[in-house]
Amino acid sequence: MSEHRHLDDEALLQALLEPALEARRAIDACALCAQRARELELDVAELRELVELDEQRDAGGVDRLAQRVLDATTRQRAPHGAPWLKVAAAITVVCLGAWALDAWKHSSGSTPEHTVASHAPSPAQPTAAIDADTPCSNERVLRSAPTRDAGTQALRTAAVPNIDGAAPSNHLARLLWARSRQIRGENLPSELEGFVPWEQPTREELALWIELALDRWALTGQCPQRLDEATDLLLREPDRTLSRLELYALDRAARYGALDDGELDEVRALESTTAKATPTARAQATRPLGSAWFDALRDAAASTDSEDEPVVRAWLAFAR
Amino acid sequence: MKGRWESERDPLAALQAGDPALFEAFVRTEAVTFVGFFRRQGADRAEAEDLTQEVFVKLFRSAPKYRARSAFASYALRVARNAWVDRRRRVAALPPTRSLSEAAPPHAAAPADPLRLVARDPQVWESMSVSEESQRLREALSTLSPEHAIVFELAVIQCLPYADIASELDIPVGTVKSRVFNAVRKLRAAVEGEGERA
Repeated sequence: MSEHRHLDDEALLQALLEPALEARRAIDACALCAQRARELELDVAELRELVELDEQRDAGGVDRLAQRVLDATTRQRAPHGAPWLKVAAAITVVCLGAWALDAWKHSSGSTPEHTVASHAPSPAQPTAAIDADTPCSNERVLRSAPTRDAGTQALRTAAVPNIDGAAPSNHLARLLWARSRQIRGENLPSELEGFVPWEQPTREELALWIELALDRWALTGQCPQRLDEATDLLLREPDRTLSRLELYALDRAARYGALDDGELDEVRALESTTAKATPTARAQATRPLGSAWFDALRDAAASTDSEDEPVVRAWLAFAR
Repeated sequence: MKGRWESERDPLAALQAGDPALFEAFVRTEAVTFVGFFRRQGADRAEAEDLTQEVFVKLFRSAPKYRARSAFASYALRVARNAWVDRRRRVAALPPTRSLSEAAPPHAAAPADPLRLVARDPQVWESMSVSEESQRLREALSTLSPEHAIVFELAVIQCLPYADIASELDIPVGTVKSRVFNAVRKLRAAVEGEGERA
């Protein structure tokens, strides 16, 4: 066994920012290094949090800016006979063909299996106008309008699998099925509007339902009435071990203002004891459907043996 | 780019293939990232929006000749960084008939004035509800040198590996290490210090 040499602050910071297994092992093997790494980790997390807040404050006029950019680039009027017109014409022909095929399927009464379209960015349109003053009985959620706006922007442009077919019977898959449909502009199935409709939902299912409810709030302004109930259930589990999927759901709920200060402290404390909740993962988790969230979903699918469900497979394949 | 753009989805490669959807999603998702990037380098809101538009248009126009040699996020950030450097050069080359407050970028003057950035940003005057913490961070960032500000941005905010940053900036990895640490230490101290005074 070679003697441990304490890592200096620069090396510790590098190990935190670009987690390498070897460095992580060296840190974990020494209480002093681990303690110092923890302090640096908190510093970085706080700075990132401030940057995130700052970006959210600037998010207000960004939709207009994006529109200006698109007008100056992809939506600029092309000269007559430009090559892309041929591409557009070809796409139109393909779409018409697909539409005709779909119409034929419906008329012939065939029930489609789950099909997954290519993962083009979602054209999700909110089903209701979004207003920062949308009435909501959950006052804590109302306070978070700027955060909701940032989440709304991310969701509107999120790329998710386009899943057709009936609701799957597997609960995790059913929640994911509902999530992709909702983000792509369809209404949330009524059975999922109020709360998880089946008895004794697992914690992973509760976490996904929280994400669904927050997506709905962000996209349509419809208030998640029983959000507190779901977050309470996650926070009141006796063994206090939360998966990353649960942590992300709680963290997102906290960002929407849906947790009180005490609950927020609890989440932060649980987060700090979760080995995989590195600052990098934490930064990624601040956006709905970030790559770290997909990693957490993969873990959840493995732990619930849902990996072979077609809808779950589609989501996981989509993350690659 | 934080989050989804770390994957291999390359908007310019998609544009080359005749599919503008990914580029459009990139614009909608990451406009706020670029505005934030330029703001943290010292631009005011209007300038940050101009530069962001410039970056997207440059990226779009570069699509026909684009060859992916590194991760798309690194490439896009390089375009943004070059746009910022060019802007600073142009501003520095302006004739001295313009007022210093208009012409000088925040990092160009010798002793950084933490209030200058706030004072020249009209949006700050429009709203007193600006988060105190965000303001503290912005003030602290204005005290970093351009070299430290860019390294902090790429390593801590955009999560690029040190080796990539070293390659992008043409400096040794050891220099990246020390600059990242010094930037974090200085920002942390500035944020804490302001907090104590508040």
